[in-house]
Amino acid sequence: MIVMGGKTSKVEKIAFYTVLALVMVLVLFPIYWMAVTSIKTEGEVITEVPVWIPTVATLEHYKEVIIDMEFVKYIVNTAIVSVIAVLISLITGAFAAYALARLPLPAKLASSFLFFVLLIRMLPSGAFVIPLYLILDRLNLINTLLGLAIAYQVYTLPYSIWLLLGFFRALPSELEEAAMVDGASRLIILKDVVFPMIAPGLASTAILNFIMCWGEYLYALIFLSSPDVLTVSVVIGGFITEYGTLWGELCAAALLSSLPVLAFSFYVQKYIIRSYMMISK
Amino acid sequence: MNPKLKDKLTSYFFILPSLVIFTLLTIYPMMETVRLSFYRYYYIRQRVWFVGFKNYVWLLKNDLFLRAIFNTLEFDFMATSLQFLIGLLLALIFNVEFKLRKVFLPFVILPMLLPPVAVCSVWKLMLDYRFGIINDVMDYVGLPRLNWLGDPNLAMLSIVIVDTWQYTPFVFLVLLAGLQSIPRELYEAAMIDGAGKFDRFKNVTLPLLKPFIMVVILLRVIDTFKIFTKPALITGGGPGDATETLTLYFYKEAFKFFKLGIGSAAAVIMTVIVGVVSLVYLLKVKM
Repeated sequence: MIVMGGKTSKVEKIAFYTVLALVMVLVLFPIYWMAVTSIKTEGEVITEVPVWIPTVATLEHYKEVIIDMEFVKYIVNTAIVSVIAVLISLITGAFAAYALARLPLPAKLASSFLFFVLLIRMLPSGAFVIPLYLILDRLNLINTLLGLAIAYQVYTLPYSIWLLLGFFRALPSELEEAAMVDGASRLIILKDVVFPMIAPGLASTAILNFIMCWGEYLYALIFLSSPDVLTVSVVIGGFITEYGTLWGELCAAALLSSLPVLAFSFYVQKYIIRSYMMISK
Repeated sequence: MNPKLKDKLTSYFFILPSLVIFTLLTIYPMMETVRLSFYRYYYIRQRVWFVGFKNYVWLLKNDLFLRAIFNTLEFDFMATSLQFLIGLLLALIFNVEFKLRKVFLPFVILPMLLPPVAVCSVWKLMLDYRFGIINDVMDYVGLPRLNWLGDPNLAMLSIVIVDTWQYTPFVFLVLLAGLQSIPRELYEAAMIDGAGKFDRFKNVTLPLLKPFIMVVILLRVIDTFKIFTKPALITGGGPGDATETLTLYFYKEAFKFFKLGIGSAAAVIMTVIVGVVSLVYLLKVKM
């Protein structure tokens, strides 16, 4: 059964479903635990005997996180940074990927450009981040959401080009050629023919980059420090290291920061799976 | 203007914004990092002076830095191996047509979508010595309670477990894509030839999956090398220096103490190590 085809015995079937059940429990339990801890009373979090299912649900921790910690502000900050970063990389990346897939760039330029895109993906962030800090500092963009969104291009732009190139290459070029014969210009063709057809690819790329920016920690920690501009990752990170034992609040904040992803993931998982399959090609 | 030339100009025009961004945000910073690594640069006091290779010598004599190199490679090896093995098992399971497959699949990939800080929060609680659910389960099945985060011999393993929980789904998805690309007929042909299950796995599945395996292992080797968030938040690099990793060390030197010269030299050494590791891997799997 595990390798396709062949007959399967009853024992194999039982073994298969046992492993499957175990996998699902291991995958889902931490998410469940984050959710239940966030609604447990303080007493039920810290007990010697574990409370698997809370006897009473309280929204106390959420009240503290949302009202006292002003968590909504940080969610808005994170959303702003992520959206700006995604838009910059999607627009610049789409044009670059289209040029690489369709237009007569000199072969040497195209291949060295692609090699460089892969290289950036490989290198540790440390290889860029100190001079990047100095540049953004000179431009007064340290401690700004725009500055962080620009710095994120180190991650998001190579990723966008890489993914979109795959989507463009998978697209048949006959329609574009037909439009060319009709005398349409490249920009018109992009707007009316190519981009509508590549829309699912653009959506997947945007989603993957959004998820990456939303959860990014290291750059946010380096480039942001004043309380007004922090992202959720930096706030939760600070909370873990300073108030490591306030588990209820911590799990409430963690769950709130995961909500966009949890809410979207079922809706967009088709795109996500498609993009990850793309990466491996 | 002739259309060929026009297309050529358009292509330069399209690629230009990306080239500008890459030049400003990566090419120039990379060169600048190398240059700064030859300077002592105390950012807060704004003092800079040329020191030649002294930063490198200082780092290579620094016990914590050497320990961070060792820890990072150890983490990289353990996490990549574990994620690959479990990811392969998962992909084989989900390559089978069973009821509820479509229902379970989106749940399996949830962990890799969560913000790493959220993952750290709940795992830090679960691994807690006194209040953690994992030790409660250990009690329940009659095993001794373990000090997952406080024992220097266990702390790195704990970080490996957390990273494995979060990123095995990535390995899983890539390998599942690989498995689904294998034509069914090949298995049927192998069965007609009388190949057993294990033979089919060894002679059909593995060879055809190999390109996917190579890519996914390379990506995990590269990404686990950058590990920062989990040790930073779950153990803070401790106990002692047990979970100090290169990026954690780099972050502290460069952005806590603002010693930009030493930080740059550490970044150059990291880049060289990841380059050598990837190169060795690529040469090895080619053979």
